[in-house]
Amino acid sequence: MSDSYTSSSEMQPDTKKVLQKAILFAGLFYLAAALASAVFDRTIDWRARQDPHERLLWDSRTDRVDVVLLGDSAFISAYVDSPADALANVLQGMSGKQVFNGSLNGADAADFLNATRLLSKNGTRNKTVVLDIVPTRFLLYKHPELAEGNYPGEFGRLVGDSVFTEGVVALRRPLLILNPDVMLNCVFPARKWYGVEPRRDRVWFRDGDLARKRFESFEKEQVDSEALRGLDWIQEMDAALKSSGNKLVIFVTPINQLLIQDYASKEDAAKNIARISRSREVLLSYLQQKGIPYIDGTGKFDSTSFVDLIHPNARGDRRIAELIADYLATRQQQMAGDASWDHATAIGPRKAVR
Amino acid sequence: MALLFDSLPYMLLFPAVWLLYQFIPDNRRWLVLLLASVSFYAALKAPLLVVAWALVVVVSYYCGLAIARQGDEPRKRRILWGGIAANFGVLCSIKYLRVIVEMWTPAPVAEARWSDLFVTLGVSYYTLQAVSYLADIYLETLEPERHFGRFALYLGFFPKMLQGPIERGGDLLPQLKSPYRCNYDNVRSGMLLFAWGLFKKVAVANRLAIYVTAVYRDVHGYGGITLMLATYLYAIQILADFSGYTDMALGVARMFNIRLTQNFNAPYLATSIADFWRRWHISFSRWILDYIFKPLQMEWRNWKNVGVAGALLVTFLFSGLWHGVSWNFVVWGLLHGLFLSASVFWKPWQTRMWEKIGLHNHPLRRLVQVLVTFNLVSFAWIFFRAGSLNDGFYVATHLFSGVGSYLVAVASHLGHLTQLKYLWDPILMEKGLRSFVLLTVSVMIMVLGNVLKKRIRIDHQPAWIRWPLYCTFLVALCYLSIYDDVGFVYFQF
Amino acid sequence: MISNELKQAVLEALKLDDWEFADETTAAQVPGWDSLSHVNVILAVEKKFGVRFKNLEVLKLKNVGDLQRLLDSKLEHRS
Repeated sequence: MSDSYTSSSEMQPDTKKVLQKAILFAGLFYLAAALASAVFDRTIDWRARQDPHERLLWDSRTDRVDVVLLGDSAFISAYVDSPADALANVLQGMSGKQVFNGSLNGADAADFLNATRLLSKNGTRNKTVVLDIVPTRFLLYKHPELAEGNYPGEFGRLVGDSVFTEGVVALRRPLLILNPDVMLNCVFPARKWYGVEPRRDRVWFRDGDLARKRFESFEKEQVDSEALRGLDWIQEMDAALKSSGNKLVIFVTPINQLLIQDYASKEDAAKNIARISRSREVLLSYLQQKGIPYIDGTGKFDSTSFVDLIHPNARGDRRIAELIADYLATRQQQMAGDASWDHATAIGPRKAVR
Repeated sequence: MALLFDSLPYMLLFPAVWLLYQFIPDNRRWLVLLLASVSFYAALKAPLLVVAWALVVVVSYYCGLAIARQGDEPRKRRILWGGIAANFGVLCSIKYLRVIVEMWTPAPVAEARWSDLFVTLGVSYYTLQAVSYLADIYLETLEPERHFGRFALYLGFFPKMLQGPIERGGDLLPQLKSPYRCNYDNVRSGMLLFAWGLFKKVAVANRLAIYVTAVYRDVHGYGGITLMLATYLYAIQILADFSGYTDMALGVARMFNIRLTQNFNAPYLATSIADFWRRWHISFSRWILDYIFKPLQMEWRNWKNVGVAGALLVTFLFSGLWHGVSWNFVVWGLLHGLFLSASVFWKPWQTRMWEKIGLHNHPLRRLVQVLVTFNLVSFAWIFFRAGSLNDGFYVATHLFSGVGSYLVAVASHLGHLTQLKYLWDPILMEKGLRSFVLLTVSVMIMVLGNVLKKRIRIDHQPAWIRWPLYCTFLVALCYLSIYDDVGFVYFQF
Repeated sequence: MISNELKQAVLEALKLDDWEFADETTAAQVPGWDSLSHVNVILAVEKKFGVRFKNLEVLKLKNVGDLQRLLDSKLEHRS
């Protein structure tokens, strides 16, 4: 009964059959999917059907762009009624520069770093990257920050962290037709991405109790401690961007102080405001120490610019755009001034030496 | 954590193992599987579990040999009980350790409780399997395994490591010894079964979980209609999840020519709770039947029906505790024990009742039985799923709150149902129509697949039907699967 | 060899009219002899012959022949 099939050099006939069929099937399937994807990409305007609030996940081409926005819900323009009021578009109008909004709802530090890697991989060079940091980010909450971020799956599909995963990402890229997020948006009727309850232009004290509910949840989730979360990821991000010639600018977002005073008890309000203030100071001194430029939005927004404690509405987005546009213009002047100074010093001493 | 079988590393690792398996000489093949199994278990990054497993393997191996060798009856029994005690000792310490850890780390760990449960369940499975091994040797229905490597593999075979099935020695050990001849049909049907199980897990169960978790995370925030719906959805979710995993396990094992036992057999078509347990988690219910119920029933045989009822209650109390060390699992187990005990007394009356109506053999009887059984089982699932005993009681007592007014509202607006937000809200639960449609499609595919599987033999179809079918299925899998951990909570404030 | 008295006891407990029992007959082969009725069979045999079986002894029984042998050893011990 014992047959000599124990020799390891011989392949059993069924094994061969399995391998042949499996490779054939996989190959055919891949080719069919890649072909269908190529046809689809060229014939259907699928980009028009995607969620503009998560653009980074389906389109990270930044070749024709000057300014890249990265960040979390404070930058995604969730609370405006039309694309024209969205931060990227308003900023574009004010500054005359092309703006790419790569911020993601609920993104955390790990997601910012992943976004940076994705942009580097896609050849983002010599751009200005504006990252929003909400000062409340550094307070401690009951829910721990996930080390892999809130978009591990999405970034895992877009940018690998090792040769192996990079290979998988590369293999996956031509298979647009198998991307459920993209395809389902095309299959289902077009969605309205702006001005849909609750994500519409609203003000915290007027439109229902969204702001109050969120603030209550904020208070509930806070851990009563003066400790702050780490900031080293900021420098990591700065270094990563610098290495591909990009410039990082931090936008320190404002906090709706009036809301805290209105919704919290007197002592809690004082405590919260003090804590957030301190967090902001620690952030600013860190940025100064590391030589990272920033735009401080604190105190530059009136209370009607807010949807809740931290999110801006259309008015708020306008103000953000103003501040960033101002910064860019100032910086440009500075650089132009420096350049002419350099030019002068280059010519001057030389002449003097002669 | 719970996504182990459907993670990319696994799906790439195991073909590598399979390839290696083809080219290794037959007498070393067990080693390939054993090393793969240990690596798989170690990849969970819980070294304590690997140690526990190794301990169980060593103790059970030597106890098994000792029991068979021993002629003296009392000494035989002592070794048996020693082995059983060691196994349960390991099981309890691992399970209680987790509970203590969970008491110290707050909410997020409780959110991940579902996946945590699976990690400890690895222990629950192979310890039960080891106990059955020792008991079978003692009862002289099994010869002890002398090859240590094969015995370790019997307890640790990676497809069945995390969630069973619980294999009897008589079923699995001989298969591990037989020479391997690659069988194309086994490989193909194994791959198909794996893909099917994967679909059930990532397309059906994960989607259902979105709804169920939203409701059960905050039971006080929802009305009766939603609580009821979420419970029924959970009944489908747990079936899809568990039978999905089982299919993945059986599929992978089949690719190595190893037949593991069927664990599910259309459980929601059961006509009684007893029938349910013959169709749900079959390897486990056979285990508690053979090793807890039968001995107890025999011990208490002089108490007739009361003895049987008592044996049932104890058996299902054990079942509850085995599933999880908290009160809501105990209640779940006891509920099933109560249903079964009640039916022992109720059965003759039930038969008489149907005979009186004259529908004794009518298909309507079967329909009623199936519906009643499904509802009893779903009711018990409330406690299995609830985050705490309080939550469980809340759901159980509020299933019908607001149902009256909801039905009145529906009845009075029959003309334009689709426009009424507050009628659809309890069903859509703010997840949107798209999510609901995708969920329905997934569930329908699952139901359709189950029906078709029995009617149409896929392998009998020609290739030009089969291959496009496979492609369509893969595409559906891509579109419908959801991998986001449902425990992922980022909150906006 | 299965004694006639044992055969009658089993038939009564299972509510069967007649069945051929051999040494190697297992419970699975006899209609209606499942885990619940198995207890009734054991009880009936114990009652009819005035013996008491130990749990473990019963659990080890594989077929009717084993049952006969177990019964015989109990009866021997008594007398």
